[in-house]
Amino acid sequence: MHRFGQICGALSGAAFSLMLACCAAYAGQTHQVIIQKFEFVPANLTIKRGDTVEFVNKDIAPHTASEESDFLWDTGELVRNQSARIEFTKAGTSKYFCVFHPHMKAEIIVTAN
Amino acid sequence: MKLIKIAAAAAVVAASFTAPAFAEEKMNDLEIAHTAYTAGNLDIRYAHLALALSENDAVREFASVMIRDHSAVNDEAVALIQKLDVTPQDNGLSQALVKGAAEKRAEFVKLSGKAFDCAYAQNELGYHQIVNQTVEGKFIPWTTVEPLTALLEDALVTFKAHEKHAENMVAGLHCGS
Ligand SMILES: [Cu+2]
Repeated sequence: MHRFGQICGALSGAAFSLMLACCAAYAGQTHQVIIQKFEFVPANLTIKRGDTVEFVNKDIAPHTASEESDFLWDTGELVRNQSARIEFTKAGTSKYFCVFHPHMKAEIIVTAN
Repeated sequence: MKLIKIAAAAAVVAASFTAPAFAEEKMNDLEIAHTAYTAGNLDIRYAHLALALSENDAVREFASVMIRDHSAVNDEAVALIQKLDVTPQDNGLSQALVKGAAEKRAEFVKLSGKAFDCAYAQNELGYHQIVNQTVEGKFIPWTTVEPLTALLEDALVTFKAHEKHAENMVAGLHCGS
């Protein structure tokens, strides 16, 4: 489950209380990935489960950050100086790319905390 | 006399892409701005032609990227021109580019299928190669207005990515066989 911004509000019932338990135990940090000169910087980022990554496009050309296997998460088109936040709620490795410029690739490793 | 010489040299290059560079006489900032904008617009026009005529996914994707990226670069150029309150100057090189591209489009519309895809893809590769050589080797060193130089440097990163992308597209189409 990956969504822009806070996802807690979208959940209800048992799932919601589980999420509260998780969020209370670990208030996630926010990390930045800068998209500049057709590269994701850093190209390899390790974060903890519950953390959020903010993708910021500094290029003139629009880019995306899109999960590679099945678009499990996707920033959508980011024009210059636009940013999008993705919260990572599952441990594992996320490989991602830019759908407009597919040679742009990077990964985020989410560790269980 | 000078303009005619540039135009003639540029026309030859636009037709063949074999010469190493096409801007021989030093151009001023306003001419460079005009030519850079024109080159971007021409690539957008080629891309619209490709979207109209090609059924190849790789070619269509590439064309969409060209429209998106060159529009973004040219939007920045317009914003800069408005901010500086200047008017870009038409020049022999811009005119030669426009003429060369019109001739190419006239050729391309007669083609279809793989013949069109290969002609478009190879032209995109050659076009980006020559534009990149000119922007990097001539326009960037020649410009004297800092924000224009900065814009050209940013644009060059984009155009170089396009050149790589075009190389991959040409390779994937197996046009030589
Ligand atoms: Cu991109």
